[in-house]
Amino acid sequence: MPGKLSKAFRIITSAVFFILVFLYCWYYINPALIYFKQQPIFLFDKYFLNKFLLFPGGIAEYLSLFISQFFYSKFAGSLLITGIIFIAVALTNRLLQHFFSKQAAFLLQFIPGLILVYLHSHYEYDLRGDFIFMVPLIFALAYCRTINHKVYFRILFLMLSSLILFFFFGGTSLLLFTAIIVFTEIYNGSRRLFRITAIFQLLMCLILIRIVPLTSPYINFKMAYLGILCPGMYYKPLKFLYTLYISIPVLLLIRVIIKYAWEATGLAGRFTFSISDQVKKFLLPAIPIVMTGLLILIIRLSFSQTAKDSVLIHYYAAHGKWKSVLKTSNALSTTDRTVLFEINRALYHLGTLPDNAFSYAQYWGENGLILTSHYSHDVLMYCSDLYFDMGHIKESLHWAYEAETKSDQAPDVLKRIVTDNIILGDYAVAEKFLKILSKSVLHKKWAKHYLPYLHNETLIRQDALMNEKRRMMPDKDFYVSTQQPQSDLVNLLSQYPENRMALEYFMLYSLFTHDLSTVAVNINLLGKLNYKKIPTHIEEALLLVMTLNPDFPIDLGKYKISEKTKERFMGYSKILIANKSDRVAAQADLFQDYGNTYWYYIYYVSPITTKRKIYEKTN
Amino acid sequence: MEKKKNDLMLGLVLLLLMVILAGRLAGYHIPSRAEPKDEYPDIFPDYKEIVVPVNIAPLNFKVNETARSYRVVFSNEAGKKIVLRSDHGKISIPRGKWRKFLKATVNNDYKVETWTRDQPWHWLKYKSWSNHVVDDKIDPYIAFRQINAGYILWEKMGIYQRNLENYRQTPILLNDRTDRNCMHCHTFSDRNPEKMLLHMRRPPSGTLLYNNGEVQFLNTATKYTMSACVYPSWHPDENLIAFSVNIIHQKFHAAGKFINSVNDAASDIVVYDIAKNMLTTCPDLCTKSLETLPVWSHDGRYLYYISCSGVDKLTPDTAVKYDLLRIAYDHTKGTWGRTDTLISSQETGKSISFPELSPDGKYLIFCMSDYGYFTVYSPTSDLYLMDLEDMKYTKLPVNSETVESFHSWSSNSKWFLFISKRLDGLYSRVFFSYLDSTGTASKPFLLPQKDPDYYDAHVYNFNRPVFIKDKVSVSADKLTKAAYAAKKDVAFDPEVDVDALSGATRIERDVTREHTN
Repeated sequence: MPGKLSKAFRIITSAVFFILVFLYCWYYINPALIYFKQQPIFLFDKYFLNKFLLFPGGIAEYLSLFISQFFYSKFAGSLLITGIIFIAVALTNRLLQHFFSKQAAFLLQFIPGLILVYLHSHYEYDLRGDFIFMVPLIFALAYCRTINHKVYFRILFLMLSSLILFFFFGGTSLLLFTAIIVFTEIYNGSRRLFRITAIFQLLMCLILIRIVPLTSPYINFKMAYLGILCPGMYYKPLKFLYTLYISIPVLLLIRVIIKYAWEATGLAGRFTFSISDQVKKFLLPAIPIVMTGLLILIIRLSFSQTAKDSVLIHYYAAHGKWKSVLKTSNALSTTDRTVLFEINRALYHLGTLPDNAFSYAQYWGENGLILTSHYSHDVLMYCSDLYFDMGHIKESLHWAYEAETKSDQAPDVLKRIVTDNIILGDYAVAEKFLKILSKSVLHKKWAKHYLPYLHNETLIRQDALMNEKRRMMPDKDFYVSTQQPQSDLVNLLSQYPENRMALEYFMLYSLFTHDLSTVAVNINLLGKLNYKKIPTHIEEALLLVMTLNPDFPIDLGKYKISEKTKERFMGYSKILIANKSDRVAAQADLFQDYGNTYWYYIYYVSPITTKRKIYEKTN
Repeated sequence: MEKKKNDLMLGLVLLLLMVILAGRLAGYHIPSRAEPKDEYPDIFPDYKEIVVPVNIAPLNFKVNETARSYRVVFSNEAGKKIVLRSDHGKISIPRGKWRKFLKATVNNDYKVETWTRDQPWHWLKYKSWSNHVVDDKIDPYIAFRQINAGYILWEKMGIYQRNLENYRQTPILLNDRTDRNCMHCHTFSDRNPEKMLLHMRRPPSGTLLYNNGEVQFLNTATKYTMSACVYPSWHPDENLIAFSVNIIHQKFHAAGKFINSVNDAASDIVVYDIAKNMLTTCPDLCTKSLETLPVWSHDGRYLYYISCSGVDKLTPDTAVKYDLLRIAYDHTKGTWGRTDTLISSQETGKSISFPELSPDGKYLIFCMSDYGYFTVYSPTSDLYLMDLEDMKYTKLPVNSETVESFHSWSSNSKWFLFISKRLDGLYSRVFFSYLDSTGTASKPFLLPQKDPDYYDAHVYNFNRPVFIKDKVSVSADKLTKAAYAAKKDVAFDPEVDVDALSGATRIERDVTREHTN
């Protein structure tokens, strides 16, 4: 009866654990966001495979890309993550059963499971770590089955396993395997600690890791030892990955210590204790509860809503869900200029940029409007997105090429390269990348849609988006300015005065850089785009010019400044006067009623006023 | 009963084997009846009517004609044949057969015939073509940098070498080993793989010099030069290396056929003496003009370079046009002589770039484009050949509508390679052409790959390809260790009265000036 009861509780515990993991992935993590952040691509192509056969550990990356491409679907992704954690837990259980009692193995199996839940809560974590952890366990389990075979057979097995693990899954995988084998041999070897197979495995590990970097141009010594843990590598894994890798060796070490220092010395006999069946009956129901509690604790420790929102805001922007961008931005700090960038884009697409931009704390001024001033990995595609929106297609393409360089065939980047080149009429380049995308299960449909566009002007003209971009894009050449993008906006406007986005960004850029005279002398541009009234923030800027420089000639044409804005300006001025123009003293009152005005921005928020500097790593 | 059963089984197995064998043999038969088609088949790469070096790897190609079956026959006048079949259009030539076939065809033509079958028993025979095999071998290796399409940024890059006699490609050094820094300007002394240098930008930054089995890591930036050394050329005596020092800028275009332009705000030429570990220069190479891209003549008596004068900040880039010059040099005395302008941009209306002399001293190939010197990004760049006897030059018949740029001579001066973006307009690919005794260049052919689809999947540039006579033997490990060892500072010649700051007087470099290279 207790046996049956115990089994039932094991099943209940496991079921509860994995259902919770799935629900956590589904409701909180959302693997579609992992996909969006990591942009994995997997191509059914021998060249794609060959790339990963060149260096030790490549196959771990290859498998990781294959699986993680399905994170595109929230459901499939959640199922896959849960499935992988299940396999990791099951493998751990099978291995630990060689060392611990069934009950102990059952409880301890959840340790790597919990660590994996922690790791998968991070959007930058990729599946390589899972494979590097799991595959050595499979080989170690297979080795445990050979434990009663002859030594030469086991040595042969170890040699082959080591070669496969090292070359396909990397040095870390081999180190983990070696640690398990050594502890297995020690554990099974009674007092004969230095078994020949253990020594052989240690030597094999040392030789491979030492010799390969000397002969292979692909990896150095550090990479050979640590694989993806190498700090110089492009992918910098989470430090917590170490915990996953050492979890099993540490458990085995403890078991070995117990065996030799506790049991073998007789101490175990002196301190024996047993649990009665009555107590067991009471304790068993607690196991699933405790396990659930632990899982919830790990989730609480690892899940960050801010981290999720930071990805989500760009995800919504990429999908044109502008209201969701603004909603998500409320939970994020605008000290991140990419957040401000998406807010401004969303405001433009919702038609309220020059009316509502300063409702948000624009800490980075013009550098939150256009991100081109710093070439950092994080902004490349955003720059391409913005200029694509604006019809600045060649520059959108330039940034997409930079992004392709940094993120090696990310699908969204390749798609941008294709669309930009079709718009520009460079069909050979578009064709090249369409052929690549057509080798991906997920993107071949997209590629199939655009392949007929090549050299087919009629089809392109029928595509509203492409047609619009072709109208907007400049046909007279000018040099692009990454440091002073205002000049690009002027050029875009002069060549296509209907470019509403270029106009609003130009006006906003001028406001951000305190260039009020430029705003004032360009009011006539609003008329060309049939603005019914002067947008609020531009009115605010004009009132400021009129107050600070009454002689400055401003031709409002058919427009006039609204009474509401004038009244608000009076109110703003009154507070300032009441505080004897003491900015610090007036700030609280001004923020309450006028925190969303350009006047407040220029006095309190602007990086020009606050002398805030960007410290971003380039490249 | 049991025996009968066994005999029956054996008979069936033999019959099956015979059917398979017959099928295979039938697959290699040359169709006796075929409908003639008076046009060439569409093949990639285009290996039609070319000159082939006897030691090149098999020129595999793909027939881009829709069909169910393909036959290709290579035949020469001696009656030797290679018959190949394919069900997907890819023609893979066995290496052993290919080598024997080329040897048997030396100084003769071979014919390539193509058949396709789109319906049962209905064969089409395309127009055949001939290629000429020459005994003049191509250097067995090329070295090149492999980089992405990005203009400013980089991630994975490396210097590779490729064996032209087979398809083996191996890295010389990858930036995975050197903290993903930028490595560039790999150069060899007279195509000798034992004498190589390359620059690195971003830590560990400096110049790796591999010479006589020893690797040194040099800091070539001095307080008298505007930058660290950039574009290099080894003197034939192997002890001197000419470099340019440049302040390089990059600009991007909003419309038109150019995506970007690379130009220099300033540039001069210096010469590095390996034995003395010292840079030197002369007034003619450090003027207010922009002198760059130095290259030594085969005998070391002249230093060729390009120069652009009268440029200031207000000069439009389209007006920046370089002349081709050379300056005499007496290596025994270490003295400089007269400067000659060989081609003036005022005469051509175009800009000269990347001069490269043949090892036999007869020819010079250079690029000419609408403006500037960094022709890798200029769709207007074409290759020209100058006969150094009469100094006359002609446009080579190897050019296309897009970029033709960086070129290199093989050690026998019979072959040259260059990069072209003609395949897709984006990525540089390596092409080879043969120069016959009259100075006529053959139709260029693309660097062969085992699988002709290679270029569809390849998303990297073949950057700065150069011929080398053999495989580079220095290990990546040795190069890496040197890059992380202490850097050796290069001195500037105290005897020289000018510096390399585009000025005539010796002034210290303004260390606050930011520049890139």
